[in-house]
Amino acid sequence: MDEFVIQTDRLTKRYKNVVAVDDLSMEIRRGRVYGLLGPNGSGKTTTMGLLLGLQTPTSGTFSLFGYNHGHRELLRRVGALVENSSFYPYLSGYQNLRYFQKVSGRGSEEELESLVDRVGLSGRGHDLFRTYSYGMKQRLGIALALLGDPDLVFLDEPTNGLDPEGMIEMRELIKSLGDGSRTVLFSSHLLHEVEQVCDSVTIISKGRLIAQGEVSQLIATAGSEQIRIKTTDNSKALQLLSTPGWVEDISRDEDSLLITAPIERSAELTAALANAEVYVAEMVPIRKSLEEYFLEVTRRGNEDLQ
Amino acid sequence: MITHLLTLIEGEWFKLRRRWLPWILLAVIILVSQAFLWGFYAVHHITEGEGTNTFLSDYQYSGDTATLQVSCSDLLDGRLQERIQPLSIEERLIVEGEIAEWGPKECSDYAYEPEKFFMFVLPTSIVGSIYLVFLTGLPFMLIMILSASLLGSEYGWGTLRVVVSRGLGRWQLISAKLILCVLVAFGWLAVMVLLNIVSSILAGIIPPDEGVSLIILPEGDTWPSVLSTFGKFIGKALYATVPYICLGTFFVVLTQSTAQGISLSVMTYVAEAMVIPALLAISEKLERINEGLLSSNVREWISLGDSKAAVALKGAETPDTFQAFLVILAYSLVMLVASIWLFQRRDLSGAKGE
Repeated sequence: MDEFVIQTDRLTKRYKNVVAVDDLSMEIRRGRVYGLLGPNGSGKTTTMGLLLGLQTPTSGTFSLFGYNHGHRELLRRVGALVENSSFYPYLSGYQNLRYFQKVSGRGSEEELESLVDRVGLSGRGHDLFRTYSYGMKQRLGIALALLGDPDLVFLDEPTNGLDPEGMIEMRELIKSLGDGSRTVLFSSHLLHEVEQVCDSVTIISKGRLIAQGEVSQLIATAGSEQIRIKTTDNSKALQLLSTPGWVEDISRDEDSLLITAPIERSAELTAALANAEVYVAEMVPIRKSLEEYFLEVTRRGNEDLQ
Repeated sequence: MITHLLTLIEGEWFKLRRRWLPWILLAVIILVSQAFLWGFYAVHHITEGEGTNTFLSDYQYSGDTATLQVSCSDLLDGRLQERIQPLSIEERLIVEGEIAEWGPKECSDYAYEPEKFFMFVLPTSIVGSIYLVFLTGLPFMLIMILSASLLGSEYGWGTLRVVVSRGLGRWQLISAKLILCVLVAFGWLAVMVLLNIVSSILAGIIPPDEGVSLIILPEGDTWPSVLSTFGKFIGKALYATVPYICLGTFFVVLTQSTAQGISLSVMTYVAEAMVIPALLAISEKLERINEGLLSSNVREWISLGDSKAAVALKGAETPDTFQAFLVILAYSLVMLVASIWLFQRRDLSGAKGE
């Protein structure tokens, strides 16, 4: 049975004249990696802050693990890295983790060493936090978020400041975190990263929910796919393919044709051309990326809001 | 809940003991305390026990029947009646009235000569210099700085967000910090007491006093009474630090900044302890307000109470000890509740980079 680990009901956060989160109702199921997407200032971090008890909602409610009371106790099942990684600069990375392990009573001392290794800080764990590079600070933040094996992990822009190799490692790590019953709520401005890592996404703009669902489904509903073909006779092909009803649009693109049609109709397309003695030399399906989908829905969303 | 609070206090200590600040503040307070002890030692030997209170002006009276001078020493030693004997009954009444006003003003800083001697001789020396350090108000300033820094630094580093997001509880966190400050204040007192014992032994075994003034009980005092007085003083001194710890925390919660929190705390302390009493002294009616001020009540609360000087100056209008206890409690509770109320409701933003 699916269980919602996060549910918000008309959650709103207002700062004087600015509405950071506006009537946000969303549901996050257990055991997945969720992407929280939105342009800068869309309310991603504020939403996480509200769920983590760092901010108080102006109105609306939310529940964690199905409970909307006893928030402090529920937070003991949550790990988080929100905004920049903040630690005590005069303590070492290991001592910082040790402090949080001590006061939250989660995890063990043995776990600390393995966590430091897991996030790639081996050999630097006993150095002072103030000597860490930005990327190392982020790694320690992720280690803290994972301390005590939490059921729900919030990761706000976790790959910020990491080198390309580190980003790949981190993506793999985040993907693996969603295996089993753990849920990860992951925000990033790198959309291809979200596409690679997340099963589902929630897109917000100006604090409002714009779209929510599985990544593949969202892209599929975003509009028709395109097929790029090169033929032995592009002019004849252009003429022939203007007729079938399932071809939404066809246009020339340099030495190719760009056809807006469902990719599963590719066989019919090649057959129709072959019957007219026009042969396909090259065929490339062009799927919409999450990035294109994101730009489209946020633009539409903003227009609706206006 | 208590276990959780104890865990948080332990966690706070884990962090605090690795910082420079508490150790620097401890060094400052030890230096001042030791300066008092060795200062009295030096003065006693330089003046050969004659005292250094010559700068205090004597009371002078020129009447029809006689002219006389009364010194603080006469007043504190109970020689007033003897000194005014030559005057007529009417003149005695006038002089007694005038001395009742003059005494508290002029002789409040008078260090009774034997008391100075006892400042570096065991057992009185154990808390002697600590009492004087507390009269300067320095421990209150230092503990305010510590309490303000303990919370304010977390705003600066942005670590409060991390702590709160782990479900440690806001009021529990602030309470742990406040309790740790009280424990640190106790630690400071304990270290000062230990060092005073060491210094007193040293003062007693080095020339020219070797073996002569190592341990001398004041006349009429017994070991149990002396130790009980010291125990009470330590307890009272600790209690007196509580409103200042709460004050430092309150201003940090209000401003969310260490620097601003410390500045406001120190400004409030200076205004409340020095500026306002001076302004209130303009009118007798306003002077009553002084009895409700924290600093005057703290002074009364930590006073040793039964010293000869205190008995001689009993005519002075100072709040009584029970009132002082209540005023300190009220200030502490108001500041504590205000701090927790504000801290519970405030949104926590990221690192301020202070």
